[in-house]
Amino acid sequence: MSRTERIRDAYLGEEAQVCKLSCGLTVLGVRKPAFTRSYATLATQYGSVDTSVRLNGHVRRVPDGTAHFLEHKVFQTPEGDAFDLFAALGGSANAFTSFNSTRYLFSTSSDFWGNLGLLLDMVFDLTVDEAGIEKEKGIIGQEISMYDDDPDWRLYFGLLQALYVRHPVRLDIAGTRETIAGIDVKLLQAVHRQYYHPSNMALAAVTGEPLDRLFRFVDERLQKRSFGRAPARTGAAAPEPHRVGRRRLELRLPVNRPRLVAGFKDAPSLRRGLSLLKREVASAMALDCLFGSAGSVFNTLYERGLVDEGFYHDHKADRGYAFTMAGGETDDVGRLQEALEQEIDAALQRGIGAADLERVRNKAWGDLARAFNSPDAIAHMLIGHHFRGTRLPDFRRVLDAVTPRALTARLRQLLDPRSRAYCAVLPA
Amino acid sequence: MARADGLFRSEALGGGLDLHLLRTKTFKTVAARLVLHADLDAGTAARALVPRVLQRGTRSFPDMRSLQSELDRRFGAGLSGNTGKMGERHLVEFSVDWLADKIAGRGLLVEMFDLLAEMLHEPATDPQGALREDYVLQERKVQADEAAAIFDDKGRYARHRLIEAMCKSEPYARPAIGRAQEILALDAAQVRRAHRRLIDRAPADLFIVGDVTWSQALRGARRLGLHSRSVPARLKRTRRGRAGRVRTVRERQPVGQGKLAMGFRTSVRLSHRLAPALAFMNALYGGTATGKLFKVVRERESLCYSIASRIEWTKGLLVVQAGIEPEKYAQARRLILRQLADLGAGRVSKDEMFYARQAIQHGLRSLVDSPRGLIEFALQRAVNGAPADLEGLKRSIDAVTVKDVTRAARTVKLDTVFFLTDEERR
Repeated sequence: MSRTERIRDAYLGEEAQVCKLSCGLTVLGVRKPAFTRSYATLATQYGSVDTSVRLNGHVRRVPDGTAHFLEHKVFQTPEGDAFDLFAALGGSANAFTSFNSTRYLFSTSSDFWGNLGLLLDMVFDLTVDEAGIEKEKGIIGQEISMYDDDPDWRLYFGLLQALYVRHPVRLDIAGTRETIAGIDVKLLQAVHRQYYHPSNMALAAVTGEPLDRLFRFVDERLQKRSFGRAPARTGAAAPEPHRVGRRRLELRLPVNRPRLVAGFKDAPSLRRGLSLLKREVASAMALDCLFGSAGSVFNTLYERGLVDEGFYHDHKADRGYAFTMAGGETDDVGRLQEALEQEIDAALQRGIGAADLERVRNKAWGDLARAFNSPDAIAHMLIGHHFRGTRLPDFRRVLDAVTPRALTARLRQLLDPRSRAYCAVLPA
Repeated sequence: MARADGLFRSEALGGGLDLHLLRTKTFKTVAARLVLHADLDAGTAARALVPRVLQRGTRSFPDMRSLQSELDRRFGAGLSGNTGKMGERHLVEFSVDWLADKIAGRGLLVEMFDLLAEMLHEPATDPQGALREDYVLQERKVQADEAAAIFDDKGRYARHRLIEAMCKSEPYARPAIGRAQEILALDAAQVRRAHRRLIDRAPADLFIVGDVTWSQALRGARRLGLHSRSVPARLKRTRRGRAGRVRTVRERQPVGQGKLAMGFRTSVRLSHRLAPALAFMNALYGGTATGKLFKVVRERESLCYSIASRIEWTKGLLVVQAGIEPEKYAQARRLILRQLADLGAGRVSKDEMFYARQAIQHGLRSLVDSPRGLIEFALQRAVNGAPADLEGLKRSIDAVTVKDVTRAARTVKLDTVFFLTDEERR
């Protein structure tokens, strides 16, 4: 176990500690005795965009939905369903899979150490059998059906399919009934071996318990296992062209309200660390200037009766992808599309001034502090910093250094009309 | 008279305004919620439109953009209006939150209450001093669209249709935003009257959670100008319905997954002796991932991904919702009822009791970590005339036995089943 590092954040008045264990796992913690609840999450940098695995000496493509399927099966343990085991220890567990990460988590107000030990054992000791896998296919099949009937989910992935030609970010995270049919024990074991190596993972905890004990506990718990050397990441997906796949995609579903979302494909960042954080912060602030609750574009569209308060925007960027989207429910997708184009073009022309920047900066300071109201949010923020290669206080520093010029430049890259596509959902 | 029930310190300030403060240094923000109470009735749609229109602008910040910009400048403070219902009580709520003094470097409490007061009493008006008609008409459209959009979220739609069928002749059937045709029929004069009535007559609760002293809280509350009103309106008590013959309603839509919603009634109220046992019974049934519905219908039979049961305490309903293959309807319905029958017969293992008790206690203990959770808890108790006695509730959960669970389960009677499916009846 290597030295523990303390990271002070003067603005928040908080301290995080980090320790990299000899097995390769990074453990992060913030001690918060004020909360009744403890929260911990164990995260791997493995999600739906990681589509290959080394199996019997060959690199092969995994079925779509494998990362999510594995997430479900991790809850199977030799002692039974892990939900019961957490419950017996007064914990409440869950997990989720995103494009780039799978995270297991629990919260407890009683036995933190018992729950933490269980979390580690459950995630690192995979117990799967064919019968359990077959049963899970029925459950996940229903999960897929549920999302298939969800117009907002369909809109989101419809847009990604328009924007992306090859990159797996265009695939539904859970896959389809057809793709998951081929998942078996061997595959899940291979994926687990490759992507659930501690060097590819991090644990973050927010608890009233002492953090030195946290690091010792995790280290001891993992010492009896042999993880071997960190496996190399298998090949990245085929290169994604910069152009969008399709300009427009339309879906017909049983809905009353039409929906439209505009998407913009951004060049993914090749760097990590501070330069990636700078880019993320600038992206979020620039988009807030236009699409946030006080944003110029949102307010114009609202006043013209083209959108309602459900109008949203999103920006995601990681391994090989970066995109922005903005949209919502509307009466007339054609008119909204036209108005969005006009308003965005006008905003790009104008650029972002000092007053707008100060406004969104003030808001971002507040939001950063607000995240510390919740143990969950703190833990995921720590993981985010670690995977990006930054630290807690970097956020405020980067935020304070943003200039109107940098923001305007970022905005013009983000919303380049040449990389734009649309998806619409219309009543069937 | 001030009273303390362990969580909030509460006091009636006059004019039908009760102040509730929970002082804590746990959070980086202060959260406050002003709740105005009314009956869920024919005036619901107009009343629900009021917070929408008020959010469009105030005297000093006459449009949404200037108002929201001001909130951004105050470190992303929140000020928003909303509508909800608890039983047959209609709630118009204004939520406010701001950065705690220590981190903001200045005190925002007075500023924020002044802004809320301006939103309530001095909204943006036309030259005649009335609520702006263009805002009213536009928000009327947005609210009607919201009513229409319930159809688009199939899970929510199934619950909506279930309640509509089940509580057909009861006030509870009305959505908290009103029905689409009621909303579209409103004119500006009706909304202006609803605004006046809310401000002048509605009994109100103000909840504050954060690092605020009692005298600061009092000062903030008085700036709202509600404590000097004359006698507030009297409110009705939510009526309990009785389950009669079971009705089944089916609706056909081109959906991939069938949405099953089963509505039960119970006579147990929040202040009833069996209330902790009913909460316990719900945890054993479908309120947790160790409950019978999750274990049997999802894990053993592989019939669904999502399945849960939820209690509406004020009205006395228990609703089970599941997403299933359309052709598995009969099997799922039978299994869901079977689990309830097992609870009523006391077929509960020691392990199940242990898991459920742990889960409920964890939920109760965790309440104090969430300003929103604390406010919801206290509000629900206030609406139901029960003390917000968290410690007492924890003790009574500890004391619940299998026998109590059995008794509570036997009060739960199936009333109506709604099934959304793409299948013809077979």
